[in-house]
Amino acid sequence: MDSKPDSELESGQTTETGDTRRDVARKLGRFAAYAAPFTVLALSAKAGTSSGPGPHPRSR
Amino acid sequence: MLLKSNSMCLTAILALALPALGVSSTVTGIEANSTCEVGTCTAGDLSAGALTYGGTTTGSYNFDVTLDGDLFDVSGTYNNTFLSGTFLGFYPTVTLVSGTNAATVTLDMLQDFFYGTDGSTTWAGTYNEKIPVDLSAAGTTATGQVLYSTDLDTTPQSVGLLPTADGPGDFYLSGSASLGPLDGDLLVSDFQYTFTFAKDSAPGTYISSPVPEPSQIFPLGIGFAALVLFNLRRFISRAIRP
Repeated sequence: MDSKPDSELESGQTTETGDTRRDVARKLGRFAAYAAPFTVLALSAKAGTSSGPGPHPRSR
Repeated sequence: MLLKSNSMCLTAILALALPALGVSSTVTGIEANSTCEVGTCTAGDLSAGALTYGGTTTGSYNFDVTLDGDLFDVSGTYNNTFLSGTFLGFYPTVTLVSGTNAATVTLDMLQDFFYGTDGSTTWAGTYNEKIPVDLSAAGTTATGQVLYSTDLDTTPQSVGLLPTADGPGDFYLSGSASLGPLDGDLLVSDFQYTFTFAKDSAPGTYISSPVPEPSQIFPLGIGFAALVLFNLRRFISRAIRP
């Protein structure tokens, strides 16, 4: 089977490191899931926002 | 069966389309120099249409403001939520369209939050404000603050008037304050920006506090993730090395 860079990978072929297209997709998916919370953090830190504690019972 | 799935689809479509059509029971008001430009801004309407627990309200706006012969375009979005805490997001851009006089544009986003009528609720605690501003030219300034009060504690309390940013450039203003007693069933909020434009500013001069596009922010998230992943792998490989 041919060895190709990830960007040129077709069905049934493997990368230079022996990954199939499914392996590459799985790694990319795992990395996207890992990056998501950081993206949300970056998003919330860069926008004009105000937050408060919300309602709670008064202390007696 | 087909009828049931069709009616479910119709309900889902209506639920998604109603906010876009402006049909929503939640009321948000936006004032420009004390003139109501978006939604309704009277205290009665805002309290009757207060955001309730678990709710979210979003919207966009685009209107013109004329001040002393200067014409400004105001556009942007807002995004307010009431989940475990209260959250306000207000992202306007004010652009000078024409005119040469000095002007101050004050924008207020008004949003009420209603929890219930148990008579023993307080909204006291730590409030934060984060205001990034982008000023396109020299002579422009920007500042902001967020004010909170309740139906019982009616004097608005500021989280803090933020230091004035002088253009041009990107600035990040932030503040935090402990507010109280804020007893009551209704929390009244006012997210306020004050933008000034110098005399003889060029048309197209703008001041903005925009929500970042996901396309701009996603690379930053990827960068953070890569940095953490790289250091984590190096740390683990060093830790397990005999």
